[in-house]
Amino acid sequence: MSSNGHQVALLPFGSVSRSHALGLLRRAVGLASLGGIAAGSLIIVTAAASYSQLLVPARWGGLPGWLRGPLSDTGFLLPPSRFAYVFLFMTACYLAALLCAPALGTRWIVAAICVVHVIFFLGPPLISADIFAYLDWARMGPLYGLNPYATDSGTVVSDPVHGFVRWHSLTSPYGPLFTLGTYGLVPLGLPGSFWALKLLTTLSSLGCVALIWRCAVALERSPRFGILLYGLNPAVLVYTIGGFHNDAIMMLGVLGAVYLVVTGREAGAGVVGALAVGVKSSAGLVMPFLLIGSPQRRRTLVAGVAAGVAILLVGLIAFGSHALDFVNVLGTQQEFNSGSSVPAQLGAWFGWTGSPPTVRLVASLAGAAAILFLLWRAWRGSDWIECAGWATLAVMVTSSWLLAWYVVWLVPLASLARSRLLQAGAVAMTLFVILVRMVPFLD
Amino acid sequence: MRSRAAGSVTILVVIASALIGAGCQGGVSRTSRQLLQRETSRTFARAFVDNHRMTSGRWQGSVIKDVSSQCRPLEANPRDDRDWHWTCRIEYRARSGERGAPTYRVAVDPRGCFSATTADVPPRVFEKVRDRRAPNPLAAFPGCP
Repeated sequence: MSSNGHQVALLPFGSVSRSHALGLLRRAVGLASLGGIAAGSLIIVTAAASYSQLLVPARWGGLPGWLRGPLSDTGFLLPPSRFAYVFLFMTACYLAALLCAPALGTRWIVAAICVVHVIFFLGPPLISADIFAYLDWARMGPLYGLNPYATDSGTVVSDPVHGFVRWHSLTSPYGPLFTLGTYGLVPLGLPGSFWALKLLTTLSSLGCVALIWRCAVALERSPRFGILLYGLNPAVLVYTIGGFHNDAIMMLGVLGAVYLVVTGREAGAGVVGALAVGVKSSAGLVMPFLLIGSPQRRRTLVAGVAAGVAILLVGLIAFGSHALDFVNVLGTQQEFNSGSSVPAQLGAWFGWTGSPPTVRLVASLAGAAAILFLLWRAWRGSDWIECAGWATLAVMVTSSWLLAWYVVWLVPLASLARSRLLQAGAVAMTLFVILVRMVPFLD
Repeated sequence: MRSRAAGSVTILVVIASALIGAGCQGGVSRTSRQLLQRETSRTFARAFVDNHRMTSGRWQGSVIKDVSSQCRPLEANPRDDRDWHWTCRIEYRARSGERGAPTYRVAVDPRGCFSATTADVPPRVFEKVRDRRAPNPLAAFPGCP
């Protein structure tokens, strides 16, 4: 009896101490992972700021101090293979942090997100020089009277931005709101407008974090996991924020519209959704789902259409009929071919190179069918945010033009999903866009 | 309070270890003859395309057929942060048949970035899109390998 009693008394104590130890271990691993992500970010950014290397494509125009930023001369030389290892280390830390999320305090997660955003803000633009294309098109109008929707990037060779621009035969694919907004930065001069745009992109991403939190609270979902999934995602950090892509600004509008729908402000959602499309038309993919998910669809539709018409009128007045080309940017991009797209990568298994026309056609049809199916599901009452997330994932998987920073279209929507499968899909797409570019660099 | 301090220590230890791990490397050479010859050739080719675009108003990525650069240092590699000066003779042949071999004075900074300048081409040319004369991209160009 006494022996039995002894056992009964010990079992709960043992299981409590084991679960306590497991909790401590998860917390320690989680905190170490946050530190690992911050360390990886610091290594990459300080290296890019200190030496001339592949990480900064804009280096063709030189590496003046205003481009390198205040972290200049504090980093190591990071050859491509070492950069790949650091990036993969960050990715492993991200996966570990996701697994240990329940044991991590919210303050630690928020602090880590803020710290890494500040680190990337202080560094030069990574992996892409698109920020200089934005500034090139911005300077064309106010300084030279040229229309960025009818004039190729890099046209004004004598402009100081020219040396940093890598695309030389494209008219602007961005919305008139974004273009007019960047016009407002031109008086700051090239370094000033460069830093202002960097600040805008970084704050937009932090705004996305805040909106994910507020949406998750309104939807009664886990805000902590949501902000961790987005705010410390290595692909979002290195490609989107590190590259200062306007996709972060667009997603701020998309998430703003989502937040207004879930808090019952449908007319505002229509207007903010239209503004997001006015920044970059890729936001338009989410809008039909937003409309279906809105409790008062007519109000959302009327407000959205009114705002959309106003934006189009502003675009027409400012830029003429060429400005309307931005509406079909997804269709135009489908004609391009990137080796890092899913259809192109499948070619390694099935024996084609790039995305041949038949593959592209089949992929486009599959993507369109998936979007129609998801719209039908949302219409029938399925979670519209999840349907929008799946539709975004379908576009990313089937598009022949996939750039790594497009992952920012998907991750915030997955952050708001109840579906673990969609979150796993977002993590899988994150791994894809990282591995497809990093594996070739590994020794 | 103790738990927060332990959390901070964990994070700082990971950051410090990662930084030390990433920093294990040898010294960095700012350039070499081969690297500078390759990079000045590439950058000259881009400057040639820019010059063509400036004067013609049209972008054509393949206006140059052949380009090669022969570089030699004008001094020993400075041990401090001063620029390292070289001279590079860049021979080119354009698709139009035009040939040339301007000589550039090249200053390489400690990062390996350089600026190349020459007096062998006109300092300014007519920029069609702005309808005025502007600095010739071939007279001075920056570059980073």
